[in-house]
Amino acid sequence: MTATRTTATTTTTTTTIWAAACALAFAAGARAQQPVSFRNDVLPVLTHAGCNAGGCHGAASGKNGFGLSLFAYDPAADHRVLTRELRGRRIDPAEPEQSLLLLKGAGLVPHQGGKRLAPDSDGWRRVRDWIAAGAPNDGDDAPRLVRVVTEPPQAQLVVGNAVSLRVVAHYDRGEPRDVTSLVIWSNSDDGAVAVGQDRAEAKAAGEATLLARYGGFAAPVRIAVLADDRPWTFPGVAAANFVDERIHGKLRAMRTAPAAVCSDEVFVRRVHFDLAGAPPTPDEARAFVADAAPDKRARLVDALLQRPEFADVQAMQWAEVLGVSAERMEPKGASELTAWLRRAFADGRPFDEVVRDLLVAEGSTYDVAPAGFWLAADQPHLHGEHVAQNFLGIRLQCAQCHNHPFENWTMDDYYGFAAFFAQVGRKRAEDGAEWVVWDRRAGDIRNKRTDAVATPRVLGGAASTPAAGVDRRRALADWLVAKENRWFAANVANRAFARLFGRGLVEPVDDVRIGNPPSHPELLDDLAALLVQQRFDVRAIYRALCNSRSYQLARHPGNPPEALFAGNVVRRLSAEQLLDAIGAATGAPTKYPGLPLGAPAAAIAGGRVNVRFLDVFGRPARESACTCDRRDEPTLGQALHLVNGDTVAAKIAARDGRLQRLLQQKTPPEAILDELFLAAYSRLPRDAERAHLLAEVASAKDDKALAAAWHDVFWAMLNSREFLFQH
Amino acid sequence: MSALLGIALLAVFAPQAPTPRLAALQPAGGCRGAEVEVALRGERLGDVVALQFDAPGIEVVALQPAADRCTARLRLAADCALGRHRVRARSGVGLSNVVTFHVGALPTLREERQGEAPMSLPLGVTVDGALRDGDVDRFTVDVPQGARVVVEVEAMRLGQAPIDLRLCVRGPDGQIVAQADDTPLGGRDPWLAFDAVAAGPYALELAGAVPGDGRDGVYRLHLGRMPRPLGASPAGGQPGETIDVALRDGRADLAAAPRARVQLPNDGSEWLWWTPELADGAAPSAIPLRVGGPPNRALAVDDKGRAFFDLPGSVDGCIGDDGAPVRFRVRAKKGEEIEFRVVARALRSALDPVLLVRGADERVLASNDDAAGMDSVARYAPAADMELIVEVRDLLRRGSPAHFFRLEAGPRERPAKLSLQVARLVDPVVAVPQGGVATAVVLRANLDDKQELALAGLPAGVVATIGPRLPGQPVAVRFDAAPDAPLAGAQAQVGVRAEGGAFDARPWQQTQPLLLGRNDTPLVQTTQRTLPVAVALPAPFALDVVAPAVPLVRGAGLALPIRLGLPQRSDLRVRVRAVWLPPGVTAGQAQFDVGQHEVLLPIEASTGATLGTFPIALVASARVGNVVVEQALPWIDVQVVEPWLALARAEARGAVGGEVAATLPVTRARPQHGPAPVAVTNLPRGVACRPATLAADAEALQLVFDIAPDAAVGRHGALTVEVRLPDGAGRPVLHRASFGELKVEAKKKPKGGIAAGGPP
Repeated sequence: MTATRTTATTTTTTTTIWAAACALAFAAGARAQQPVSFRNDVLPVLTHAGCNAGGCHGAASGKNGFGLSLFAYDPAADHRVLTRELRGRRIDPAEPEQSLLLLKGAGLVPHQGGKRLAPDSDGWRRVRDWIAAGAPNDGDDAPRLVRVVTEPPQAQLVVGNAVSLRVVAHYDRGEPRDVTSLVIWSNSDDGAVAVGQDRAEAKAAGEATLLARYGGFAAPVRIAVLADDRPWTFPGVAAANFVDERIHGKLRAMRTAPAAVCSDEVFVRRVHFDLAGAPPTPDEARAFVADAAPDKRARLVDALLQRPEFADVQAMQWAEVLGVSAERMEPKGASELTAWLRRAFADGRPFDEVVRDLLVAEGSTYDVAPAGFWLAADQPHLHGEHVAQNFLGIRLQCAQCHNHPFENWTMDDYYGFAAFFAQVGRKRAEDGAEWVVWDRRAGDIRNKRTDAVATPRVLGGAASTPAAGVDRRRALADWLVAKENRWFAANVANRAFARLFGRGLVEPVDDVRIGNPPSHPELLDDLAALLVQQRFDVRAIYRALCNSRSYQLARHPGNPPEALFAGNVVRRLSAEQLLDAIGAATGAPTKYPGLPLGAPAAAIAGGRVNVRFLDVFGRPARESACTCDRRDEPTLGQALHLVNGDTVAAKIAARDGRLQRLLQQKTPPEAILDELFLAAYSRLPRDAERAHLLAEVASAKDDKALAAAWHDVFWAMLNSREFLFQH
Repeated sequence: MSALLGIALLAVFAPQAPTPRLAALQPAGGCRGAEVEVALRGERLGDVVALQFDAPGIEVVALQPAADRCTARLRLAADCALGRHRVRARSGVGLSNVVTFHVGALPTLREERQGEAPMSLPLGVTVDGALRDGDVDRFTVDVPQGARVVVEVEAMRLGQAPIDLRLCVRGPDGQIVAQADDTPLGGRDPWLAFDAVAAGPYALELAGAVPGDGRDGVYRLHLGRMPRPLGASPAGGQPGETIDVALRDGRADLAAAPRARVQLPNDGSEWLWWTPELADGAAPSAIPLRVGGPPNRALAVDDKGRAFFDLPGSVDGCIGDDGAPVRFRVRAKKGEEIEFRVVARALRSALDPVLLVRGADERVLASNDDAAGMDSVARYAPAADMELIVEVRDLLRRGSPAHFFRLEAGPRERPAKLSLQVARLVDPVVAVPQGGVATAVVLRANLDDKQELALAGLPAGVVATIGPRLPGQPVAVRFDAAPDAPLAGAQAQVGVRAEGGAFDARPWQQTQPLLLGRNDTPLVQTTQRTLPVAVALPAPFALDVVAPAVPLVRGAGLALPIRLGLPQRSDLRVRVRAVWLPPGVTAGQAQFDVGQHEVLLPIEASTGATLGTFPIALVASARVGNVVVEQALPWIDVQVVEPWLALARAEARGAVGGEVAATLPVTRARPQHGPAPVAVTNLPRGVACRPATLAADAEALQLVFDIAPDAAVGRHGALTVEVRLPDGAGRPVLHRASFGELKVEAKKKPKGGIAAGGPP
């Protein structure tokens, strides 16, 4: 455990670390001569000690009358609180050690937060020196932190080994500083890696992202942990396309073999659910399996991408993302917007155009359907959060009240982004259910930190004063859908990846941040590039992904981390898929209100047509932009619905349903079983299944008993995991 | 006082037979000059004896009630007005709510389902149909090449269901030729026009616009080669004026537009829903024309192309395809406030107007969006004579021949209005039982108090009595029906009559919803210009109300005894409340519990109540099933008088466990006829007042309070002294006065206790 043994990734950085360490040592010597900076020396100490954490004095209302800005996002306010509030009794420049700030922090007087700063520790001394110097505030010439850098940024370890960590702060002037002792670490997987203040130790195979936070900035360290370092050879599987190349690259590095390719029966079911939202018919499944052409999978993918159901599924998924709901947009507004999305996907409109139309929409929600998008939120800052999360996968919410603790977004970024939406007007029209959205060409939003009018500013960009009389949203749309925007195309591609692979390259898909980097950054870049190259044709992404070997994998025999994509991620069918699958299998489709019989659940506009089954199985209420709105955890209600509810039993017994039709036609038992298996599983029964189930029905003494026996068989199939899950 | 002696009056109350409730007439309309068989839909229709239309043109030639249903045969006169007609069903107990029946110019067909096959239609027809959620009604029509065909649907405008339809037309090749959903003209009802490029069968598809909204409803689909103007210019005129209008048919230049003459009504209507009839037929539905406002003015254009008009005045305009604002100039006089009103959405224009009033230097002086629905109103009073620029633009900066408007500029209008005061969702009708009474309360706005309320055209045997006319107060109207008044209904006229002047019914208008949306917001409304009145059967129930024998003293109250006559229905809970009281008088509610025969209705007069003798109008109500039925009681007179005596306020203080006496000097406004018992109310906890009497010659009232050891300590100012002064006949007349203040103190600790003599 004493040796720090790393793979080549960290070895290559050794020289850099050494050079940096020398530079830092020099910088430390130079700093000894410099006055103590409140912003760069004192506040980091308080932050590291947890004084300004949300559970302590960083709470909105402070603690016990003493309130600091959360994680020191507002140094000016903190200085005022420490030096001016309570007539300055928190500090004592005459006797710095007797300052209430130090006495409380050291636990020398009663302090509910306990001992946070050891007396005479480095941090304690810095604070003391600052007080002794008269507790000065930083002038404009004080260095400003511009970034922090972790060394190494990534590492690969074998279980039991460790790596030293360094964090360096860079300022707009002066030398960088080693701030390792003052950073706050967070860890995405404690089971894989244990992190100390200056080292990380590998505990179990897997991957973890460590996030170093300092001075409102954050920097990650990605650590891959191998079970052992014995010689290992990647199996000879060929990559079908660039998707496989990237995934195989990671698997090779992680010494994990991918699973075998799934059977045709599994593939045909999987790809139908993923692209068309419903299983193949028995005839479709039978024909696909019987097809001997080597390119049949690619042809099937192409065919499904052209089906209207693909547009239904895409429209439903994006309607969820956009928060299209009858409650906020009125039933007709939600219906119009959903129909507009469906047409856009059916027509193959470039998705950047679709998003642009949404962003600049103006008019009645009845006449200009995308205008309904602006009803998903009702205030500029909420529009900003919504747009960032929907189209960029970035959650800005934290930065409304304080600088983002796990990202580099500041309150200035937040309100600058929200300023793009400060002039969006909306009102009800004559018909009470109709809304009109328009550009008011006037109006501002104030930055809560500065109370000044916020100037529009794209994320990661500079503020720009918009021209008067021009819809600010147009400038935003230009930036957002531009191919140079690294977030937009990546977000669209990542959402498509997640829908097919069960999890995103960034997971959750709407939580892109430094501390949550993509599992396969190069693949995400490639997919984004493909989307741009194909003029934002989302079918191109789905085509590339579905044609990859990685998508077509069977379930992995081992238990590798899901983020490696070494095997298919088994997941329960969504509420809509499941109800349609039950209808398709039984031949008794559900009649959704307002839709013709046979229309898929994905075609339900607004998402809120009253269908209890869909709610029980986790249909989202579309109340937030978060993907977590859709629930997939099992519940007792779901089990009862399947086992005892009317949905399954009634559909099996439906007069014009599949089973009754087969029985009325006096179909031979073997053929009935084949048909039921194809309808439910898209495969034929195995020999053992065939023998066992036919024996069950063979014991029936009359037609009534025979029908009951088949009912039981079919019921059992529809309650099996093979039916309920996407695999 | 003799006039105030108790008089037993009889009020009828008939809760066992609620009035009929109409949901609709089906079909919802017919062709003028034809007879049509309609079924009444609704509740309690088995006793319907008549249909009461509020305008001539429709005759009921047969009525067949049966069980809880009813059918009728209507004869629509050849000159029957096109459009919406209001109708109520009348039974022996009164009138139903209002529904509408729609008269068109085209022959009418019933929608017939023939499996999945579309129904074949000729051009020039109206289809009465019904659509269920999820259905698509399909029709086919043969159209000659080059024909311009209009298809218009009336659905929500029928006022039966908040249905929202979408219309689609496919050509002979199956491709979509035209489609429509919401339109400025029809609201949720679609209409479209298309030119048949090729001859052949054209398919019409009518379906719900919001899949899954679960709404069913009926519609009238008009199909033909008739005109479909969007509006008219000028879009209005003065009451009684005949105007020559150009019909807006979608072309930008009105010079070549079809023209027509329109006689505007002078009945107080602010709008005329006019159905244009041209050589090629009548429009499928009416367009609104403004009646009133400033007179129409011609525009004068100066050499710089600037358009002027004189004040007060109204001009028409239209936003061009480029969406550029339209500007007018007016010359305003110092201090004269001008109201600028852009009427656009009310004219069913596509324009969502924004109004700006600028000075000559372009500075915005006043602006508005949506002050009148989606239309705009702004007012400005210049500080000096000046030229103003009035600018009208579309909120979305769009424009088209459909973005037309009428700009009105002049003094602010305050039209006189009369209407019936009715509770929310209660129908504004009057039903007078034979030998009984009904009360209505009429609201007045912008009317001179000298103008007396008057009624005309009441059913035979019914007379109306107008209640007191007090400044700023609504007026109560009592309807009395003779015992032998025939069961009949009439559309009575309500209006005003100035001193020595003629009867004027123009202020009367009663707007009521036909269809309600969320939170009971009216989606479709109609305005009646007459008051439906009916004579109803006498009821076997009776309420007795006794007029008070003594006056109601300011600051005091009295209780009106009300008795439920026999026979009684033991399962009804009857409530009695006041619907008209003189200013400053309030009444509580009285309720008969099951089996109870008499209740007291408390009434109170404030210290500022208006003095005099006034009627009090009461109404009894009871829930029968899920229907609340109401019946008026006869009016009784109450005299409100000043107090006969005044008591000076007292200030008394006493400790707990003791007693305290108070003396309140008395001032009398008239001699006291004997001793008067006194009581004190609102006493604090633990304080009791000993029985007291105010002698006729006493100069002061003596009161003694006993204060219990656990009495509430503190200052108590809510005590009220009630004195029941006998009138000349010895009847007690309640007077109330404030006692003043009673201070209850804690028991004082004995002086020189432990502190003085105890241990150190």
